[in-house]
Amino acid sequence: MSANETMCYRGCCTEWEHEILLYMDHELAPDSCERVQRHMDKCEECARFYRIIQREEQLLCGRLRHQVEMTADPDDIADLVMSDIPAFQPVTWQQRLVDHTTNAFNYLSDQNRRHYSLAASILVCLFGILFTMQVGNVAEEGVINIVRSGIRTHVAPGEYIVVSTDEGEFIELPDQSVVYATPGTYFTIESYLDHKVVSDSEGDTINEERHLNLISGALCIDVRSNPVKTGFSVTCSNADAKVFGTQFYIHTTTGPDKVTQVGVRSGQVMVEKRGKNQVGYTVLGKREMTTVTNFNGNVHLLAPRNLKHDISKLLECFNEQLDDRSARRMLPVLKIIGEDKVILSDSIQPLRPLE
Amino acid sequence: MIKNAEATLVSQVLSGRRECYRPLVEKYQMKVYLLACSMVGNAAEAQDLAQETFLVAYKNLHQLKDRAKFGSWLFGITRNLSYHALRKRKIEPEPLDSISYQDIPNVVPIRPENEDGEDILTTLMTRLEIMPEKYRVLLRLKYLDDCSYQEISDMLDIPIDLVRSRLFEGRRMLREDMESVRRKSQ
Repeated sequence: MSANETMCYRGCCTEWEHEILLYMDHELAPDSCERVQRHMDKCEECARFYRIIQREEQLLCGRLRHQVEMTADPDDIADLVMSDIPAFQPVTWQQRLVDHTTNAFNYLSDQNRRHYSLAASILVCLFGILFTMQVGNVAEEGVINIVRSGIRTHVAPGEYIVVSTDEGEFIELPDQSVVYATPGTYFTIESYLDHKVVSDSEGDTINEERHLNLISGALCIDVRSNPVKTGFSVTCSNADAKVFGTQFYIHTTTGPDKVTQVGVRSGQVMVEKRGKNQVGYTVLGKREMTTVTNFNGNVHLLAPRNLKHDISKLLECFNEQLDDRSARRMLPVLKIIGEDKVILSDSIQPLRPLE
Repeated sequence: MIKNAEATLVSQVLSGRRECYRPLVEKYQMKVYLLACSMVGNAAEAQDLAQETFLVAYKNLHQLKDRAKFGSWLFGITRNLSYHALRKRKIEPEPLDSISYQDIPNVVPIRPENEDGEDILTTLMTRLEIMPEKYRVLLRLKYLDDCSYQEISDMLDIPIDLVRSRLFEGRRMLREDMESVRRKSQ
């Protein structure tokens, strides 16, 4: 820090102090950001004030975070909690229903209450019939039919699909697109072929309604294109991948340093980063990959580069298994580390931005 | 994780699918931990509190009325447990700065580039620890997790305008009389 910078504390324009702090916290609208930036370009004292505050807060953040990271490991919490849970099961609605029914039965079984008992039985039967009909209707309306590990089933939009098997799972989507999810992956199908039609810039019709939300883990996806150019997108915490007909791999991690990797075997994928007031995208071609990282509060999208060997190998193996869909045969390309964490060799390390 | 997905997940847990609780824990573990850390000022204790929060939440999950508000409910439990822990021990929160680097093996401490920066950092850390709790908790949350104002508002259940004004005031307190420190470190 130079002597000149040390002299400046609040900046010459007290009325700008609040705006500059909001600018530093990324809490201003884009037009206000530009206004503050223009002011700092003209006003040297405010620019110095911004630099000093930013540096001091970086020092403070670094010290606090370092102390916290050295003392505890919050990533262990999930394992510790899940291992403690069997000690007490939550009271489910079924258990409550059984309890209430038992109490009601005991009450009504009294000799003096036989009439009530008969009336209550009739009411319960009627209610049961109506409830079954209602549940049947609901189940038919808002579900997405999938084939999971060879078994036909259905999920609701937004319902979690948690892959807990050691070898991962093959999941066939309603339009015969195929997903292979590695162990420990969890994701949701937000919508699928609801035929919500929009038009692109050339006036062609595009359906945007094949949308997965990947929370954590890795997916290999074989997307079936169709005549009406239905869009297919995968959303992660810090990136969106949009495709039309291709085979690709996507992996995301949770936690503060989020990392999303996208690799393409065939076709094209547009990868868009997602962050506060931050836009940017890249288009990946055949055998290319990119990484989106969160670093220092900013989201960085790396330039496309050649597909890494281990991801390439995984995608090739995935392609070979598209007919048989044997998850066990995917095992040789997965390197299992720890109990339930699957990492594909050294490719999923948080990367420093090259931009 | 969108809100209706969270509600679905809570429903799945309540219907007996225990494994569906893990995604919820993994999503919120860092936020809950940092909130506890900001409130009690001790990382090891915060980890225990975060773990206890998830266990208490699981035990009382059937009491959650609006399942889409699982996060807010969880933060409420964290705040209550943190206040309870502070009251129970009747001690002041231990400053985060009290941990010595020499006590931790194989650690290369992040230090400012020069001694001037060290003076400034020491002053800032001291000021942070002695300022009123309502400012200190907000500033710690901001610095530890780079939370947005909206996230802080959700975690502490206070209006976003209050977050904005308290952060502003807190930062002013943090830097009061810093000019003399800077002059000294020249």
